[in-house]
Amino acid sequence: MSEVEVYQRALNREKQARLDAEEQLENSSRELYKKNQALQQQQSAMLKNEKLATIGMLSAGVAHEINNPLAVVISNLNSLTDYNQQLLALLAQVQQWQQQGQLPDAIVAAFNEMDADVDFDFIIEDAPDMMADMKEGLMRMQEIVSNLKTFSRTKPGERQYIDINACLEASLKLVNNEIKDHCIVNLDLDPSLPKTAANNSELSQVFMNLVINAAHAMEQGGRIRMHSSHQNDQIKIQIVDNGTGIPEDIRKDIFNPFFTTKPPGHGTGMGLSVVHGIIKDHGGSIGLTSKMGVGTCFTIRLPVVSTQNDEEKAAENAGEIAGAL
Amino acid sequence: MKGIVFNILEQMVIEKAGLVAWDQLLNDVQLDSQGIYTAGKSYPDDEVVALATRASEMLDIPTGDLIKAFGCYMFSKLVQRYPIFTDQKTTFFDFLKSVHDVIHVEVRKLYDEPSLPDFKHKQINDTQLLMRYSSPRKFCMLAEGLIAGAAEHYQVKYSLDHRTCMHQGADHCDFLITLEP
Ligand code: HEM
Repeated sequence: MSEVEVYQRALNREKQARLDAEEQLENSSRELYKKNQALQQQQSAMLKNEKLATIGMLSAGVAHEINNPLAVVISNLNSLTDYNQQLLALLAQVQQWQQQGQLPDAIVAAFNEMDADVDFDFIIEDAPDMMADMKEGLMRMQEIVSNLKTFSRTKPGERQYIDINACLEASLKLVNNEIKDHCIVNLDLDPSLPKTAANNSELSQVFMNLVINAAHAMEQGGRIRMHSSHQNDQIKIQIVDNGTGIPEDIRKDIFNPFFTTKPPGHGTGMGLSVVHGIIKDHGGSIGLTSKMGVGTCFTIRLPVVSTQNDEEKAAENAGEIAGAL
Repeated sequence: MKGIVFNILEQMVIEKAGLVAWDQLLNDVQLDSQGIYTAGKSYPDDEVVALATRASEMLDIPTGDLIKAFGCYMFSKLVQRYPIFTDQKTTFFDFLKSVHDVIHVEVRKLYDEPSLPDFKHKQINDTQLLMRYSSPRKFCMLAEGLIAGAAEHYQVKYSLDHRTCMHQGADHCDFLITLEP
């Protein structure tokens, strides 16, 4: 064995060791990259939650400030509508007297002069419509304010032991009229779903919102699947449609208040933010997956809450929006 | 054992006996790794034992003594590579007390799942420190050598009483270290 061979072997070992080291470096770089990405995702999820919380606080303030003057305006408008009707009745009476020639000429002349100016017939026709429109507008404002309150509510609604399946079925019945013409709904419910402490009407609002949204995504008709299941102490509810899908760039905004894809005047953009607020209150999470042209699946996870302690724990875990981010 | 331990062993053999001896050693023991070691990767503990056993035969030195000498050598190389640990501690005892809670803790950050021993210590008085070693690998002689290396670094004289030993069936080794004037 020559010394050159010994050195040759030593060199080969060194080379191989270096290759091994490079491979190891690559592996740990890859690992680092993955961990970094996971961190970034977590961070943006946290920012997102923080943003929602800030909006929630702002909304609570706005809702509170608007609520009282709004109530005054609505109540006065109701009285004004009554007064207006009485005044219009008086006007109609005057017109009738005039036609019957029961009024002195001087009054008729004065009345005609006013009529030429303001057109009483037009007022009689237009005023009730204006009142009705105003009332409708105010009702809409009231709805937005109340949705804002739900979204930003600090105290969760009352809880009772409820059967989520029954709640899903009842919600479907309530919206069935709106969707039955163009959508087929399949219920696929887990018969052994445990009961949990939750607010029935709030969850019902969540399910109705999601089903109606799904129906809107399928103007040409389609299929909606409502699915429940459970694992350990978590209940999973999925509402799946085969509609148009939600474009990736707007998925992150979808739970923000006032975010809507509907044209102005249709939809307040509060639906999904209210949904998010309610699910968060229940210590759960909501997320979505969506594929353009294939459909969308909203997944809600709720903890099975059986004792006061569980509920507190659930509240601590609140505030996560899974998936969508 | 991490490759760095093998790298230092190789360095020692080559320094003391030459590359031909190391080549001979590898040829004699026929290891799975073929003697190719990368600092951060783990290799079977048996390979250290096999290399040390064969080396002790070649050099006619008891294996324990050889491993101890290796520990002493390894210490100087580790300090060269990571001077911060000795820089941070001014005395021999303070340094020894930091091995478990500071140095090996750092090692866990730098190396992926290293196999490290467990150390407990008790300062008996100003001149006596009891170190209790336990490890499934039973490399207490390596520890003794590392301690010897540390003493050299801090320029202290000491005696070590290896009073309980895992190789005698105990579940730990006790080193009673006494500083000597
Ligand atoms: C007197 C001081 C030290 C003692 C007594 C000591 C003891 C030991 C022992 C006995 C082992 C073998 C593993 C086992 O027995 O289970 C070991 C492994 C190791 N030690 Fe220390 N050590 C000391 C200082 C250091 C220093 C200064 C470093 C520098 C970073 C260091 C880094 C390591 C590394 C990298 C390993 C190999 C881990 C593996 O193979 O997975 N040690 N130490």
